[in-house]
Amino acid sequence: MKIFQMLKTLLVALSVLISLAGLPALAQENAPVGHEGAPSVKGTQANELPGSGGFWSAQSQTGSVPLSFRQLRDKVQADDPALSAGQKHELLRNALYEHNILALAWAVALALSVTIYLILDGADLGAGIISLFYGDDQTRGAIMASMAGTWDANETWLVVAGGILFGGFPFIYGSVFHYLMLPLMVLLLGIMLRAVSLEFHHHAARSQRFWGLGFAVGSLVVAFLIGAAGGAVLDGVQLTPRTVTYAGGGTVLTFTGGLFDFISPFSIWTGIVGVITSVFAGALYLRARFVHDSPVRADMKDWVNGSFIVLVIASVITLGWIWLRFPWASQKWTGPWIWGWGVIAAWVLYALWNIWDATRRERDLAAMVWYAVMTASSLGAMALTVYPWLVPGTWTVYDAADPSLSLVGFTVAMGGFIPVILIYNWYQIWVFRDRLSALGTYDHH
Amino acid sequence: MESTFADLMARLDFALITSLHIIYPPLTIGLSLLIFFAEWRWLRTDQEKWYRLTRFFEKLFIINFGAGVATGVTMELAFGILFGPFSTAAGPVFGHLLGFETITAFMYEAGFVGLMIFGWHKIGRGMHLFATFNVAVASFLSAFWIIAANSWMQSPAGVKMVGGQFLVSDWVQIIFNPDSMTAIPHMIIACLELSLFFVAAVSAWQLLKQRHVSVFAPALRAVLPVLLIAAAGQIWIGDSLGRTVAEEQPAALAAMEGHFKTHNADGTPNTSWNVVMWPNADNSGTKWALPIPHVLSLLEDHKWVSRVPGLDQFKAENRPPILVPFYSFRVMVAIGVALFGVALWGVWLWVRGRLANRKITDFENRWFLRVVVVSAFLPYLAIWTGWWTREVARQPWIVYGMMTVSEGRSQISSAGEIAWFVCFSIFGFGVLISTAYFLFKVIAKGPDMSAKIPRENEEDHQPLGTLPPIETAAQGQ
Repeated sequence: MKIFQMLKTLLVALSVLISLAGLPALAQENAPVGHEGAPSVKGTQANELPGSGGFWSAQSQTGSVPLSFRQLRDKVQADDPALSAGQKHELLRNALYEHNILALAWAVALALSVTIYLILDGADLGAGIISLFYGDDQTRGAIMASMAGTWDANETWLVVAGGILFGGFPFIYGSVFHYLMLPLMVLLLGIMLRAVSLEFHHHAARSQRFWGLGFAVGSLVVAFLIGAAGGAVLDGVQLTPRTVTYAGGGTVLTFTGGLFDFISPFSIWTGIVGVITSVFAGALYLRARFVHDSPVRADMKDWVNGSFIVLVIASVITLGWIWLRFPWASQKWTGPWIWGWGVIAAWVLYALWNIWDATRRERDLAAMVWYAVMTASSLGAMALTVYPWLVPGTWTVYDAADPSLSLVGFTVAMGGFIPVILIYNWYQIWVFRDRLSALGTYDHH
Repeated sequence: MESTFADLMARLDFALITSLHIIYPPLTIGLSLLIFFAEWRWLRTDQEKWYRLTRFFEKLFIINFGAGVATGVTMELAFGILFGPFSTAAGPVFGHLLGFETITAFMYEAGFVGLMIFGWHKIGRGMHLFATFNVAVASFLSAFWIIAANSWMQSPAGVKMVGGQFLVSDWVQIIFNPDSMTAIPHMIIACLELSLFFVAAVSAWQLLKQRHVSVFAPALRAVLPVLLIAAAGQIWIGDSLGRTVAEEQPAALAAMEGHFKTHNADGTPNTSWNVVMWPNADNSGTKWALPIPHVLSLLEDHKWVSRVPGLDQFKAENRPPILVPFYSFRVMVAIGVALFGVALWGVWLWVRGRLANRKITDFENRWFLRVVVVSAFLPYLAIWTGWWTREVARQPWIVYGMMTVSEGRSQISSAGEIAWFVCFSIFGFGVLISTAYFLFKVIAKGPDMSAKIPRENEEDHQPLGTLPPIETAAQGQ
């Protein structure tokens, strides 16, 4: 036992150290040719400026002028005869530097809110899916009651991610969402069904079973479609340039394909993985939410163990599939930083082992925390794999960003409000921390 | 022709989800403030009636809130799905405004609404009041951002147009654009007026049934004077908004007033205001109308004679449809005036002391109470027609004068557009009917007069539910 503890500590310390040292290096890996962070200058993927290396090469520029992107671009576009072509180029390059840092910062914020959403709401969705297997309305009602005070706040992280995407990456919002129309539409219907079912279930008398079922089915649909949409985005989007005359005119990339373009064996599979992951998260969550002697909590032990094994197998399949399907992934994984990916993989495995271990020792909260660590690490690793793309093969972080990003907006949103949100979210979870007994009549509100 | 149908479908798709969403937020916004007021009175006076009112209206609040969230998430994503090119072009402005709303209002509200509803007996009374306060503030902020974003589409300012995008050049000008300065108060007062009428009507209904007179008669008396101020203020702000529209969107105003000809045949300005009218076949004039001279210039410029640009000043392809703005505008105005009348009647009764508890138990003023109950539905209709006026009169533009709806919509196949319409009709109306059903059910049941009243320093950490017969819980497996 002692040796285990020591090994554990050592592993944690090592992985943290190596990750810290390795991450910036990983991020610096070269972007695919032709997309070295050349950002949108004219509102579309601009032709690369000769010699412009985008963010990472601009970083080596010393003595950059601290003007905003807007002011600089105005200068460049003003056709100022006093400026030579070379000077203009210099100016623009400096502007891109600031713009690209902001674009990256917004992308990190986006990744963060998606991750928080998947961790928090994933558990709620999973609990909903599990409730499909409890035919009696009492247990399902108890499961619904367990998230009565928090589901709304958990779900709003999805809306936060949407807001960041809309304002920060309008090019993606306007094109990829059209591509995902069908899954998003059904997803929205699922969210709607789930939300009203949660509210109406305890007001209903005769229709309780209906709302309980609506909650469970809605959860299943949402979990599947989030996974499927994620897979469809990894597949990339085919966009067509279109000349427009509004707002100064230019060329914008739009989606012109059909409703069912998002369907591929891979996206269906990622949908299934979404459901499996949610069930695992939901089982962990329910174990932590019900009183120790409740039968639901006892059942959940089998659910955790079962879904754990399925999840591990599914993850291996998914990784293999990504490896074979996406050259950008396999190239990066086998590139010069292969050991770094090894460390990340080891860290994720270690987190997985801890979930298992914590469940075995009846430490429900620890299991949930390790689950969060595992999810965040895997999603982070996936984001690093996809970087510099946001939508592989279509939009890089820098191309897709709003060309007029400003530090003010970012500071206000991310520096000011996100920490405050996190604080009151935490307070809320703290207030509703008690375990439930088996029956979920939350009449007492 | 094909593209016109697709444009229409895209507009209908969005009109459907917005119309089925705007039913809920006004009550959330206004009622949260009223609940805060009741809870604050309870903490100050320690009178039971305020506590009962708080808990009762809170139940109604949460039903409405859930429906608002459920239909609201759709709104945000629908911009990207149905109006992709618009989202790309206006994202830097519009998307950020919605993002600010999400972060400063939506998340903020969600963080406290759970505490407000389920936090009784778990958190202290002061902390609970603080949670209610934050819910109210957050919902007002939400209205502020959303109307600011919509107003920017009506009177776009503070942007530079580069490469097919609206880029931010001045946030202050964008947020405080000419339209938002009157549209934001107009909508916020509308939310308040709707909620005040909601509270008044629920109270009046209970009083008609002679239930809990000691709780609901004070509630009715408390809202009536505020209602009078809100209804009068709304007419005044509405007039200001009309004049803003006249200045910023003359074509929209001309459509709202059915004002075709700028000049009369003899060259003098046409100042006639049409009470009702019907446009002729090619939308170039009226088929028949009931005009009153000078009223139009009085309304728009507050002058006896002035030149108000008619639809003949605009190219045919830039003219909005006329019927919807014209008639929905009239319905909205008529409701606004009628509600003012009801409020005036109520205040008159109240001043004369005819709404005292004893008078109500004597079955007096039953007609007034009946009218108040019916009036609760009118603000909903007014908000619908107001928004229809605003959105249809902006056509064919999505960003007024800069980008048309046709340019802004995603090139979705008609099958997709129709599937959207059908699915969201079913779900949207389903949510509406169930929400209404549960609201009526809770109203009919009335307040729970026996629930324990929280005392200071008494919060307990009991499990959320009561203990059940355990055997049944495991049977499902």
